[in-house]
Amino acid sequence: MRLRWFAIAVSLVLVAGACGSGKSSSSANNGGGLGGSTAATAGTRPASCSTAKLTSPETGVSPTSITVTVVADVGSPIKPGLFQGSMDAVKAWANYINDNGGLACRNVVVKTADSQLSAQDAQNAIVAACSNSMALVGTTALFFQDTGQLENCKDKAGANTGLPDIAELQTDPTQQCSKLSFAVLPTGSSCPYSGTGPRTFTVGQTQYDYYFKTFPGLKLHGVFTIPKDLPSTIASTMPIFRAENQMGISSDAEFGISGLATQADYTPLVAAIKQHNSNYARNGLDYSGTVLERKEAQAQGVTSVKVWDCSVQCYDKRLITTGGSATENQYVWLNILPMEDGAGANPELANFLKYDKKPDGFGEQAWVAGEAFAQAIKDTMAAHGGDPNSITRANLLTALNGMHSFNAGGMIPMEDFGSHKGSTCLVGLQVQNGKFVRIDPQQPGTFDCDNNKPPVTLTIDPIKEYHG
Amino acid sequence: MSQRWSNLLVWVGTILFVVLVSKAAWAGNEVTASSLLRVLIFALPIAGIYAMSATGLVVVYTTTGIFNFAQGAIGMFFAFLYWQLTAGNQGAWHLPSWIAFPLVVLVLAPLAGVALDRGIMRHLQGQSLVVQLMVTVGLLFAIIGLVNMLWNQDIGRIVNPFFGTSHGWQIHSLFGVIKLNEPILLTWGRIITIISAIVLAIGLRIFLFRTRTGIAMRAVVDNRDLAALTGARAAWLSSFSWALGCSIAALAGILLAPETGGLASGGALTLLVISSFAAAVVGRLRSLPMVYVGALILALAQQYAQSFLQFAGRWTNVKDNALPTIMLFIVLLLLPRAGLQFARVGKAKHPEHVSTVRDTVLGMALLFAVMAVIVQFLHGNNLTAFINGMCIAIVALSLVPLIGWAGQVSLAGLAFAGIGATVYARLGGTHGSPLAILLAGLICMPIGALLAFPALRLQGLYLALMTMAFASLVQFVFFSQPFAIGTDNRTVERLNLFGVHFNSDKSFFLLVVAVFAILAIGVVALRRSAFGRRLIALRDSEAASATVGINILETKLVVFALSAGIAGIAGAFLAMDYQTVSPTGQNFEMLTGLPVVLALVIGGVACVSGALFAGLFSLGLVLIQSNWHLSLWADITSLAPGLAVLSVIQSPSGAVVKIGESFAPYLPWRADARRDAAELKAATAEAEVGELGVERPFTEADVLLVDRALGISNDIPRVPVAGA
Repeated sequence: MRLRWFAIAVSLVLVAGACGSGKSSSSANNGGGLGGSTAATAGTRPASCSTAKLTSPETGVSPTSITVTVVADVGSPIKPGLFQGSMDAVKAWANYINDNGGLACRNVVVKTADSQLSAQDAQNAIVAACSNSMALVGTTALFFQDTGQLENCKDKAGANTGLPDIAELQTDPTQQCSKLSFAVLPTGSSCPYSGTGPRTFTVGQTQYDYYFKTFPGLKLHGVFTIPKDLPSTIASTMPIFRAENQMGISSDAEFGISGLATQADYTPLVAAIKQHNSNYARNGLDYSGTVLERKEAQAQGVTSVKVWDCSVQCYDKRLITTGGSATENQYVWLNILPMEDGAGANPELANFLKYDKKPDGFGEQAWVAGEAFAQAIKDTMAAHGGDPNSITRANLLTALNGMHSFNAGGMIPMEDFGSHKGSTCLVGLQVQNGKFVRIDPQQPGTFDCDNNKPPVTLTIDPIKEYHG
Repeated sequence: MSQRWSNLLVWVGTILFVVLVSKAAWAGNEVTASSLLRVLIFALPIAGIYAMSATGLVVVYTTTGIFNFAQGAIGMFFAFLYWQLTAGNQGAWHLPSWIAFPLVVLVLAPLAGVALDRGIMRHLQGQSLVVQLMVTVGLLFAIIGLVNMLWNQDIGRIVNPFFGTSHGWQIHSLFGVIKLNEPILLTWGRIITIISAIVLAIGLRIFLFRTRTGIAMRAVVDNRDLAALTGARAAWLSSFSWALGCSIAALAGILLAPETGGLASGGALTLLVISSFAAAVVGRLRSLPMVYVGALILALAQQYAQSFLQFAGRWTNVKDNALPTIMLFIVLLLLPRAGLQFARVGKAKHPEHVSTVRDTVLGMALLFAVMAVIVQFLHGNNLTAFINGMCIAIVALSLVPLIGWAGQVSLAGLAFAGIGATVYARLGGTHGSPLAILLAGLICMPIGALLAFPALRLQGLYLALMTMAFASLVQFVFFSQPFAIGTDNRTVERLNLFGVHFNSDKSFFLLVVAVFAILAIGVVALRRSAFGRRLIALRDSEAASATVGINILETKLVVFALSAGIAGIAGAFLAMDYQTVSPTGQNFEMLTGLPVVLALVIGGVACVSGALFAGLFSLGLVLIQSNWHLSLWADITSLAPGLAVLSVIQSPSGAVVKIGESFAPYLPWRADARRDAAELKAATAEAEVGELGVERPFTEADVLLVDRALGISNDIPRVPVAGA
């Protein structure tokens, strides 16, 4: 249990690893535009549905419904409701779809499975979903470490097709490299990967380019904090830090910090910042680690740091509510539209904010997973002459593999979903006066795609890069 | 080996260990007076945190005799309550802190302590150590569940330190002699924590050793009846002790909450206390000043490692996570050898009913038959839960001879299962080799026997803490070794027995049931053997056992090895159940093992059916949660272990024993149970015992009844009871 607590505390680091890969978009993406990208998928039920004879072509598909399962860590007593937002959002997405005509002439039914921060419960959830659902949507299970059950799942015809997984989070290389698992925001890590040894990583330059432009002439150097409790969190953090080194941000010091650290444990780290007069600091732990570091820095009177850097794991309202004035000016980079853009910035975001009564960052990504599923169903039907009975797991996987331009109606940057390649486009936020404020680009509904700089590619053994 | 030589050996070993580790992991940083001063300054506030956490533990232990695992959870609860009273947002009540602080620390916390004493703790007087420990573990889970129910965990909460976050004592140098490169601020909040810990240490030391009430409190722990004879009001003192303990917990919770970055969840505060166990043991759970010394040593060791050493790869977890455990391990080894415990006049125990091997064979056959029918109706998650439950039952079974019969409290059952799972994964589990299962058991046996050596020096709580430290080391150090799991998950196959594959869940479930049954029969046969009687003798009195010629060393070695062997086999089956073993030791963590012991205690720690109960209890919780998707269930399943504690209070020997006693007279083959029931009925129908020997003479039957009631012998001839 203690380990699970560590895992919670550092989990979102893995999201931070979703730093993009593959080709960078050639132009700034107007996320609000539906045309030219994957459009919002819902609509009124086509007239052909009234005449079509609907069958049950696949497990989880009946003449009236398509069942999907969302597996998320929710019910752990030590951290209740961790990814409740994901479950709520997939349900909200299903309501949105059903209100707008359903999918393949059927309503979407959502089953929920609580993986409770346990590998065993995650496996149980997959076994159950194999027998009653067409696919997993919005998977947010931190201990999804074994894809055996996913791959051995038989379809209705008895073939070893596997269970498609449209995941919000992929924490383990096994899941990252599974041909059945598609991440909403893929990590920039190469596959296949045995789990040990060197691996190739691709890290975008967008946020660093912003810093270089914002602070011209300033040679950034700083202190890096590595979440050290789990090999997977070290492995997802070290490539980013080494890429930053390659981009010109040098390391004054690196600290491995536990997810259970107290604020006092950050004193040596802050002392290092003062000693080196560092102007850059990046914390790879979740928001609470950043809060502790910033509070200690505030207490010790650190003024030298110009850039307090963090990725999507800091996009949490508690960064502000618990950090208070200490977390002012914190940079936070997202690869999804921030909710602060509001309903007016993007129709898909508007739908999300309308249907999800308790929207949060996890929920937003889970909603995108739902939209990816809907797009794949739509593509499946299109490939089979609009046949609503063509929606099998095999055809769904074919459609998912063929989705090379997906942006969930502009909620995320355009990405090569089928090739498991994310985008380098980001949105930059900064905490200003107790609020997340969009700073790059400033136009709501858009992403900075940093057209001029290709992503940095590096091959390292991430575990060996960590020196404690 | 004499105490002096063994201590010397431990000291030399420790110094060698520190030197070798330092040499191997040296980061190359320059050691200067300034850098050493920084280490000291970094360590001071952390020492304050550990000391504050450990103080509550020690005070409660000194004044109640109960080692309270829930001390951190109690502090966490009152930190939430303090937030509720003081915060001005999110529905809180916005009281000034000068009202809320004394209200919580001096009124509400003591009241809760009194309620805790009257409701739960008072009933633990005279109960076995494992029952006492597990009740506090159950309380820990219950408090976490309660906090989750009362306070929405999605909201970030702040408990601000006193006098703000950026004011305090700016340290530039040590008396102007040793200068720091950069000044370091010791905030007022941290200074208050450090001073509070020191003041508490001194004040409570004076209170407990120099005041009449304090001495009386300790006397009650030492011998309640004797203390009562001298006029001590044991009940009042017990309530006062818990009030004091809760008050200190609340103080620690409020002072430490700002250091954990807000109260988004109480986990960090709850678990902080576990790291402070080492500090508490330095003070031998008695001396508060030494507790502070222990806290300082621990903090210095951590900061020394942070500043000068690098740990990577297989040793990544050593620096923070394993260091408190390593220190606890070393300190426990340095403790003086426990003297032989001589028997005291204890609470009368009802004689245990020991099943015959024949009855057990019948019972296990019945179990297998019932499970064979039930499995036909199971599928999906329910079936998986049953498999897991039966594997847990085997882990619990491994603890029955060790804890239930030999009285050696071990919290490392699941850790041995983890080692067994690793052995299985490494030595043939990838193709389901039956030999790998055997090896899992066999390799765990000598490791278990090694743990028996500390058991010769340590007894009771210290032994329990030693096994807990061992379980933590397995979790943080063993699993990440290249020779164990390494850096990546290992996939394993289910058993392939001479070409028969147990791949399907149903066949695997029946296999696990069969293995449980066979092991249970073996364990019962062991209990009825001469060795089993030696174990009972060992539990009842080591001194008496030694006197009658029982080889204590050999007996402990064998029972520890046996327990570890069974747990190792259980681990192999758990690995087959999970079909993977993780280098993080997931599913085999020390804290995950505590509910297994708790469930065993609830069921009955001295009977194999208690182990079965433990498995069914854990699967029951899973079934409830997975089959009834109500948010209420999530809270109830969090609270369940805590609620189950109430049953332990009602029936310390276990629910299964209680149920068995109730139903046994109705079973045709249990004539002995009917005789027992008749005797009990006759005895209760008799005049009060107090009149025996005063107004009416003892009869032979009376003597035998009293003997049986006192549990003097298990084989007393039956007395014909009129009307039976």
